Amino acid sequence: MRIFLIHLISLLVSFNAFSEIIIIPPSENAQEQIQEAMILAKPGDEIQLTTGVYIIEDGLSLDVDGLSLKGTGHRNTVLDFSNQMTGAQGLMVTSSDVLLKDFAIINTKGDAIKSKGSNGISFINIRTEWTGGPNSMNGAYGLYPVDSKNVLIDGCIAIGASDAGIYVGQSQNIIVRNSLAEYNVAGIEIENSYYADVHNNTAQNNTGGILVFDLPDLPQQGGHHIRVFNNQINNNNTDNFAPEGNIVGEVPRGTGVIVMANSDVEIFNNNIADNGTVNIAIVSFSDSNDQVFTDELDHEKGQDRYTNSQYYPHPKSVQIHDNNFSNSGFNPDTDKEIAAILYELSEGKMTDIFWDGVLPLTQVIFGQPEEDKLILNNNGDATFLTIRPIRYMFSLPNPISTDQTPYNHEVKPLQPVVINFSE
Amino acid sequence: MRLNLYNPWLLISLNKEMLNKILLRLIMILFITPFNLYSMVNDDIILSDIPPKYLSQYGFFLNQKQQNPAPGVLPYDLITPLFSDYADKHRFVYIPKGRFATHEADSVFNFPIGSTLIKTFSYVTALEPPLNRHLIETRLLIRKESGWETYAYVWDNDGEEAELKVAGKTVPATYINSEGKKTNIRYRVPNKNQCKECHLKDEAIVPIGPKPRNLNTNYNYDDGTMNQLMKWSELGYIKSYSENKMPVADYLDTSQPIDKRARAYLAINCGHCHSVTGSASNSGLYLNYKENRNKQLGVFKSPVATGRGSGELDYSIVPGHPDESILLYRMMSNSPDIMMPESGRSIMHKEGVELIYQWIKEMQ
Repeated sequence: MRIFLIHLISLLVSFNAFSEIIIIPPSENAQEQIQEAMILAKPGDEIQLTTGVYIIEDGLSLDVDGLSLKGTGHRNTVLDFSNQMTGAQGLMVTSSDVLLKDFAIINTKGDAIKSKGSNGISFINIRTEWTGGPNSMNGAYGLYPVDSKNVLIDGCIAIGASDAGIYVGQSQNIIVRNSLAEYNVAGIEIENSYYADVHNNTAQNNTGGILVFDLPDLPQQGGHHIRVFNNQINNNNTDNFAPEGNIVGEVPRGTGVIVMANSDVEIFNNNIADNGTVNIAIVSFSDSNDQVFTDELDHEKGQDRYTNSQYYPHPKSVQIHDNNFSNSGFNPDTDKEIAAILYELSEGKMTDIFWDGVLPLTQVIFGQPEEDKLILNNNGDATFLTIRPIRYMFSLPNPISTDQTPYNHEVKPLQPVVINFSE
Repeated sequence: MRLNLYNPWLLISLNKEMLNKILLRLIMILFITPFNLYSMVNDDIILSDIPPKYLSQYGFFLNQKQQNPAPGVLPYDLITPLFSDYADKHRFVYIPKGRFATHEADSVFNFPIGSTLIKTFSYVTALEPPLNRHLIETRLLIRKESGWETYAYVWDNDGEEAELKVAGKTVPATYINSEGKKTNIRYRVPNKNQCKECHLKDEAIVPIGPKPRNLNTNYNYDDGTMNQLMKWSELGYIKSYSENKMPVADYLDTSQPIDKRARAYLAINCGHCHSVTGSASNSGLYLNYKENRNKQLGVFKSPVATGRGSGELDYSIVPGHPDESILLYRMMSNSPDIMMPESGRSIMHKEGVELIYQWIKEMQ
């Protein structure tokens, strides 16, 4: 062990011998200096921003591997984009093994920080915020890694995004932890992604706390293996302020968690409380202009629609266990479809957990494969409601069920997610 | 101005920038000209690891201000170009003597090492003669041993010299349209990363324009009008080309079918990012020339990660309904988080918008 440490230290020292630290204090030329440094820097270099407010008018971009960009703390080092003139993001990262740490990006016109195609990117103690509070004019995403691998988001704060505060899309090997997402439409959203651990976060005062989604017609789909645990998912009762047309525009105010069309999702040890519509909803994807049931239940048609993209619109292998639920459904947002259906079927008695029950026709008739079934286990006195599709479609009596016993199977824990950084 | 050099009193009153310029001119006259009397292109400078500070050091022009190319530097045009805030573009290609470009099918030419694509952006400053130009920037795409590199040189106010700017620059400019109406433009010279936004394909920088289908048209050369591919072939820039390469449509040529015009316009303005290998691959919207799947082209395609870019609309393209199509909405916006393309323009391209409007309207 000692030998290993010495090796490590000598490695670090020799590494440092070649790398440079570039310090840029706030000034009139800071924008140009930061951008120039992020272009001319060599792998291993570190750009240090000092305490103060940097006024930035154009989107910044980073395409050097192995670079660190650090401030002195997310309250101290602030990149203010209130007067942004160009750029769809505040900061765009397209390189790998990048560390972003201890600074804030506020009031960008579009997304705050986006990474595309990065392999190895860490966001540590970063704050992204729109300081005017929830507003549909705010940018879409705070922290936005997409098409990336080995993503770590740790100790970050995301406030006021008009789509998702922390949004990980079409990525693999992801950890989002110890972070706070509030006053966004979606607090934390994991979309079309593989292998994500979302834990020890607080998602509060959003429209919806944590979303696990899979959408069709994208290069990476079939989102799976997502663990959501040890989170505080409370009071997500902010009116939906997303611009219409976006999928998160469908999220009802007062939602704790939504799982849509993902597979292998494990939600455990969370505190999910005081969400005015529903604490957890498990739903299939449906095009907003389609009828939810008639279309999705038509197996042949469903196959047809998604054959090209190999898209599976139904959630499967979802496990919800050992969570602490309380107080949901006290103010359902019945303007949104999910809430309206639940409100109607429950006759106003909203439940903690809702599953839309939508399955391919063959499974409606012959039953779901055992390993695909929903598992509900040890969730205290959580209430539950699901739709029985055939009864619902043909207007037969008892179209719903609130009995959890059929879902009370043994939990099969998913493996923890491992991030592989090259260092 | 040059006379002032001999008057020491006047020299003192010159500012530092002026002095530098004069010094540079002197150095050029003293050292470069004697060895390179006719301002021939400097192949060593083109391939040097560290790019030169000034554009003149390459020797691409006999007269930089007039944009008169040196021997071996050939002007060219694209049938349907990328829109860049109505800036005029002068394009040139340089291929080192004795070398030639090859091509596979209809892909971009494979240029030999040492080749350079040169593009100067400018605005006319008055509609009446004498026609003066405000030169803004000259972008170089250089084929080095390790691959293509991008450099942007920004012109001084007199259009005498252009200086390398890796971090980009903001240049206030004025565009005068054919009716004499002036529009002020906050012109953004792209930084190196922004060059990559469009020029990156599968992790490598590649040129976009010089494909046979984009060049297969006539050009008015000093020595007469000729098809560009024929000229390149005659000069030995390319060894062979097949004459029946279908040219793209000129997006303004109303004699062509609207679908061809629209697809040509979308390909050059959007298709390099919006392709499976481009920087907008994650959107699932593909507008490159070869794409033929309706959903990927945007027909009844829902927006993804679009934010305010959706404009409260449901689909990229709703056939017959341009006003309900996100694609057109984003082409019409000038807001940084909504507008498409994301960079390279700050004002709307009226002609492009009209074309895409009509295309969607006539779509079944």
